[in-house]
Amino acid sequence: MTDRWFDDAAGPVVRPYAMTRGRTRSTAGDAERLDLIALVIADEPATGSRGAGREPRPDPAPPAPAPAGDGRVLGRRTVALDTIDPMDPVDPPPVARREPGNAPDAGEAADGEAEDPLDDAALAPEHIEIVKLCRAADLSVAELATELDLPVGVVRVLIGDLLEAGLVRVTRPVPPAELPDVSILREVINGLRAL
Amino acid sequence: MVFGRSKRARSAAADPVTLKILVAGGFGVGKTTLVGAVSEIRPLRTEEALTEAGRPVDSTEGVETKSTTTVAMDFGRITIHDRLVLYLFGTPGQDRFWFLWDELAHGALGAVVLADTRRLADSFAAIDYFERRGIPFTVAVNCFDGAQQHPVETVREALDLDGEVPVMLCDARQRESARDVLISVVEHALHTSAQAAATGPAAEPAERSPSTTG
Repeated sequence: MTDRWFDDAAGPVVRPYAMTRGRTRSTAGDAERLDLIALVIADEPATGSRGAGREPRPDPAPPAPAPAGDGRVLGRRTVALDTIDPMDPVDPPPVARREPGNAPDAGEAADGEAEDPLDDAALAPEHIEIVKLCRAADLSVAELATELDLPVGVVRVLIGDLLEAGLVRVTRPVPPAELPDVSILREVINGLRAL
Repeated sequence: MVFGRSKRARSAAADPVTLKILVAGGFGVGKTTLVGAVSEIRPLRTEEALTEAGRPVDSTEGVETKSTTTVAMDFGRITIHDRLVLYLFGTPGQDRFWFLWDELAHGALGAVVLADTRRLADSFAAIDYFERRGIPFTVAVNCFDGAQQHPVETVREALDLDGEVPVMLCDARQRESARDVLISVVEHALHTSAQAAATGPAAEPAERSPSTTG
């Protein structure tokens, strides 16, 4: 039984392991504490041309990612589940074509920017994917894990790298042992009632 | 969509607040269904093992074969408004993933324990877990078609619950019903919080951490 379990696990484990280069914890000290509901927020590129908010940003992009994102997850999931056999060295399809060194793919948020920090060759495609997703909308760690179809532990390591690089920041959810503010709880109740 | 924003938050104070509620209960009791009924996104799963491919997600047949498959957390999202988002996490149904519970319970606002009267014992572990950690929870009895309906008080007795723990009947498939369960959880949390504020400092001076607000 035990042997079998390990056999089954080996397939899914290898790729994430390689992706983090063997790290199971982030090198950014606090990132391993990243809560599942911590929101990852893309920081404005320091050198970018959109310091004043959003002027040069191609605006067709933001509305699109949401529905497209969901669809993509589902699509990718289907692909992953149907086609990836641990014995079969299928490439990770969605990211393989996006090499960081290449010119940024057209149609993404990076379009109109002369110098995007995402061109940094040290970033893996998954890093870039995270930043792009977060530029479209703040996403929780759990949502990113689902979008990327990666284990939460791996996503934490990747987010840690991005924190160190100053490309994203994360929110700190309400600390445990401390209930959120009463007014917030009331807001939640009212919000739920309005559903 | 929800976070389409006109300007980026500049400071931590302006960041959106995220909260989470856990949905626990025995295997196949309807956790994913409940999350799906109120979530604005389809319930998403993380950490899904690839060996799970093609298997019906909520099959209640062959429970024993399922024990070798997933480490999955279902989750859903309810955007209260653009600064306040509630996440729902379905806990893994299998005992061997207790370590995940700790991570999920960390900072949770409250919990739903979904129960099936035909298999009440399945909810003991979850109730025990939340009681020990002082996480406010509501017991929601999912009224399955064909299952005999029991009055709420009978269920309360059978589960040996404290008087203040809300117990209610629900239909996890119904959005309104699932929503009411969540409202009950938050109200219970509010109540617990108010109680703690009222009695905490005076009645429990010897508590380890004097006060959360110091």
